[in-house]
Amino acid sequence: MKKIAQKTLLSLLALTAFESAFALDSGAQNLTTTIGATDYFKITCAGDTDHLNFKLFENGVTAAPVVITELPPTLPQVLNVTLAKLKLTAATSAIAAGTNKEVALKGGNGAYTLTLDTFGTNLTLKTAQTYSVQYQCLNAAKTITAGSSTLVKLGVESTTKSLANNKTAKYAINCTGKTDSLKVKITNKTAVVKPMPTIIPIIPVIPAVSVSSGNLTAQVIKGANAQNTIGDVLDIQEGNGDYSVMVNSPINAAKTYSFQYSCLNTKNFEAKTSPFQLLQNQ
Amino acid sequence: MKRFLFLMLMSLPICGFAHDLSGDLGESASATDYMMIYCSADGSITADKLYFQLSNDSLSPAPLVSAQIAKNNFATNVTDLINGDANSSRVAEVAGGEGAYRVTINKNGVGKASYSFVYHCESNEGEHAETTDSTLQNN
Repeated sequence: MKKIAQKTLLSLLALTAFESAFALDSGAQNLTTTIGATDYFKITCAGDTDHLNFKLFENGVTAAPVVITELPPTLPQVLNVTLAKLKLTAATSAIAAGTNKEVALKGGNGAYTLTLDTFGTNLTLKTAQTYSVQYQCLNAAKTITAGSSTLVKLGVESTTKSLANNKTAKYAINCTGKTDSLKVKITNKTAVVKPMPTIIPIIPVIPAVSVSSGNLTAQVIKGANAQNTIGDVLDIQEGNGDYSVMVNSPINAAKTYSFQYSCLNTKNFEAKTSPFQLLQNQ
Repeated sequence: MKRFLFLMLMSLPICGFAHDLSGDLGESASATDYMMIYCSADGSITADKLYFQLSNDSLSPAPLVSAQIAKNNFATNVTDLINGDANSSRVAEVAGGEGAYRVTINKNGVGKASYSFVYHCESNEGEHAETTDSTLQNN
């Protein structure tokens, strides 16, 4: 009959270095027609709380979930690599900026073709990618044999090369001796693009309900400070500690309602808000 | 504008000793008067509960006036549903024993309102116990 739904929507907003997170907690509750029915709650604020922000919503529409607009993931600039010899190929893809990968092809002696491309990279990033190449011709025991390339000497990391978006670069590597396989290490030396730290906006969607019919009222009390609301936002500036909240109906109407609350500091940033405690449910 | 008139009345024959308080609430819908009522034993008479009854004395159209009485983890609401008539709200008897009862008085909308209420601490047998009060907020 009496149903309680308590949701901690954002008890911890991990916004790293940003203190500007705005956490909202909420509760949804039914008020019955019992004479004098009053729901009674306790909300505890801690941290550097300056005031409790409280809003009552009438008509049983649960406070809308807080919408977190997250930044889309930033796609990396990537390099793809294919190593080919005759009909044999080996490939590795999506070598992101600041990382490296190895690719090996067991093709014996002879000429190998190393192809690098930037297909599938993040085209919004216009900077050409840079990379280096290092290769080894190996025998079956994985010992270095002999080889050469116009790009760089065997076993030496090449100078830094660059490749624009949607472009391809090809190099020839010739392995000799008792070569069994060719191993190539490609390092994407492109600077890692770190998205600018952005405050994640949290937009409470206020439900389209009547908040001023006067058929439901709430009182928030702490110390010698008591305030009443029929739907307007209350800010009760009483610092840390327990805030009492009572919800009742002057006309003894059965009502479903919800409320949102948050303990805020002097800069209106979230302090420490504990989930509300239900003392009486009528 | 704002007033709190404390009157001690010997008006309730059953209880023998009652208290009456009146006041105004300002224009804002958030206006809340706030007081504490303290109940304690009077000799051999224990303070078992608080008797409370509210009247909305507003003559012109005004929002409904309600009072909430809370003690420990219990709270109740009383409302005078018709402004300015001879009838008061229901009687609330909050059985919280001795100690401080928290009383808040407020409205369900914008507009000034006047009210009064009768209260006293009493035993389960209806005998009047020690009753004192202090005003914490008047707006």
